[in-house]
Amino acid sequence: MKTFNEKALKKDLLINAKALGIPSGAARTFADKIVKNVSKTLKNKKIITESDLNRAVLKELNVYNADLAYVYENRDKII
Amino acid sequence: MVALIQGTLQLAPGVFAYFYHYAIGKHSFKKAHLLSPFFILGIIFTNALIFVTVASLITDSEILRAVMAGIFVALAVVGGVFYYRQGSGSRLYTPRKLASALLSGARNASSAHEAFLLGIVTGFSEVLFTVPLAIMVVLQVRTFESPIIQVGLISLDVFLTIVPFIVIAIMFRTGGNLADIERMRVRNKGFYRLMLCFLFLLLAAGLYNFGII
Repeated sequence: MKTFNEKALKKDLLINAKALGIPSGAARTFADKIVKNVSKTLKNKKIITESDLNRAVLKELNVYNADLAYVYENRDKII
Repeated sequence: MVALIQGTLQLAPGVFAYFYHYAIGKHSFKKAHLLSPFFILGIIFTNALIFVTVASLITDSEILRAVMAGIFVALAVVGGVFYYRQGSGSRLYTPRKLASALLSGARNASSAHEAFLLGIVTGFSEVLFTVPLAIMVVLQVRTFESPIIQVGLISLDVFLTIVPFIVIAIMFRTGGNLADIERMRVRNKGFYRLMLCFLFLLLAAGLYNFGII
């Protein structure tokens, strides 16, 4: 089970976006949209697993930036 | 050849790339460039410590060389079969708790001493491979009488060990990012696995047949 924290997700996305060289204005705009859409997707679920959250975030990220989606998807698979 | 094997190991470069990525994301390019040498210093410190420990404990003998040949065959199997976990990404044999701790350390390191300590811990996480290789280097270096040559050879090995980190740092400085580096690592997974297996077997065969590489 995972607690969905909008602020933490947005912060994580912005850190990764900055590291990937995505302009901060664009990053802020799509981070807001992603957090909003993920919240909407997960709103009706009583219990959210980590993979539910990852799947929802990845679905949104793939729309905006392929590199960011790749880093998010593989962040725990690097070593 | 030992340096080539060390260059093929993926744990420390993976942690370094992750650390560099988060240092840029949480701070700035400048801070990442300033902190990264401390991580590399930590790796060098660990290697130096392993060399000194091995050199003070190991005495060359026929039995030791036979045991080392056996260990290298075992490491060839480990490197070829178990080094990477199954599935996507470049997950390694490392216990998951250790991997999580290293990644968490890489995400949160924000000062020179934290980067240095992360380098040390990362260096020690690969002792399964690095200690036998250090024993091999010490055995070979001892065949030279001049201390200058001995120190020179060990320094050369240490330098070659840090080449992957320099390459990663250059990639970041020239506009590359973690996604590019990770894609490259995943694409070459099979090659690294094959190289590890082949080089360890070559080391074992050389040690067994000739007593010297």
